[in-house]
Amino acid sequence: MSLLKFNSKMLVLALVILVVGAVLMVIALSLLNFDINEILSHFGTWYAPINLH
Amino acid sequence: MNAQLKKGLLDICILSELERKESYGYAIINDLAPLIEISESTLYPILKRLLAKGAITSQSRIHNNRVRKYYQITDIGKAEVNTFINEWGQVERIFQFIKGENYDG
Amino acid sequence: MMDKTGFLIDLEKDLKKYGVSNSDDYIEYYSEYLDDLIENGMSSEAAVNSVGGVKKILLNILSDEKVKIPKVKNRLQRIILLSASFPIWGPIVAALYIIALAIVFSLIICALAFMAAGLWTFLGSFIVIFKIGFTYALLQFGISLILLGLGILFEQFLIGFSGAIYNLNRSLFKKFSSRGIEA
Repeated sequence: MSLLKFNSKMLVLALVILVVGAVLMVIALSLLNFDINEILSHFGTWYAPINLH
Repeated sequence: MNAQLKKGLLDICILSELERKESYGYAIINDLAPLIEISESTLYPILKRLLAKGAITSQSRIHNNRVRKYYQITDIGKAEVNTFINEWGQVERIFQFIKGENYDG
Repeated sequence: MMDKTGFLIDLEKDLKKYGVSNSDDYIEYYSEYLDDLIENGMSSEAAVNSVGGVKKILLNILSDEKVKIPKVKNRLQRIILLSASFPIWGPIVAALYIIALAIVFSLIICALAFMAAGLWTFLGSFIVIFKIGFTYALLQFGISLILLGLGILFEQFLIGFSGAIYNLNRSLFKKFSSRGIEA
C-alpha cells in the first residue's frame, strides 16, 4: 500500500476515511441540533450576515 | 557432411526412421544421431514440410501428464523412400564418376 | 541462465512481435522437446542451453517462416505518407495531448486542494476541542476526514491516469520506432 502507486488498497482506504468522516459529521451535526430546515431555506446564509428576506 | 548433400538426405532419413516405427521429435533426433546430426531447429521445418506433403501424419497423445506428438509415415512417404532407393543406381554412377573410377557412361 | 518456462515465454513474445502466425505450433514443439530432454536427465537450464537460447531459435524460425520485416523502402514510404498527412493528424494529436495535460493538471489541483483543506481542518479540529467544544470539533473532524478521503482519491486518480498516459506514450513510441533483431 503506497500513496505513490495506483493501487486498490489505497482507493479502499480513501473511501473508508471518507465514509467514516461522513458518519462522524452526521453524528456531530445531529448532536449539535442545528435547524437543518433553517440552514437549507437560507441557502447557506446562516453563517454570513446577508439577509435574503 | 556437405550441407547441401545433408539437406537432401535428411528427409529420407526421417521417413525411413518412421517407416520402422512411429516416433516423436526427441526420439527421431536421438535415433538418427549416430548416423546423421539433426538439430531440433532443423527437424521442425522438415516435419512441417513432410506433413504438408502428406508424407507423414501426426497424432497427439498423452505421455507423463503432457502432450507428445507422434509421427507416422503414410503411403506417400513410403513411396518417396522407394523412389530414393530406386534412384540409387544413378547416385552410384555419379559417385564413381566423381572418384574417377571405371566410368562407363 | 534461463529455465524452460522463461524460455518459452520469451520465445512466444518474440514470435508474436515479429508476426509469426503459427507461434503456438513452435511453442508446442519446443515445449515437448525440452520436456523430453528434462525427462532424460537434463536440468531445465541445461535443456534450454542445449537448444541454444531464444535469439538463436528465433532467428532460425524467422529465416524459415519468411516473416515480413518492414523493408527500408516501405518504411520510407510510410514516413513520407505520415509527414504528408501531418496537417490532418497533427492538430488532433496535439489536441489530445492538451486535453490529457489539462486533465492531469486539474487532478493535481484537486488533489492538492483537498489534501491541504483536509489537513488544515484536521489540525484545526484539535484546537476547536479546547476553544469551542467537543461536538463542534467532531463535526470539523468528520469534515476533515471527508476532505482527506477526497484528497487521497484524487491523488490516486492522478497517479493512475498519468501512469496510463506514460505507458500509452511508450507503446506508441515503440510502435513507430524501427526495430531490428539483435542476434
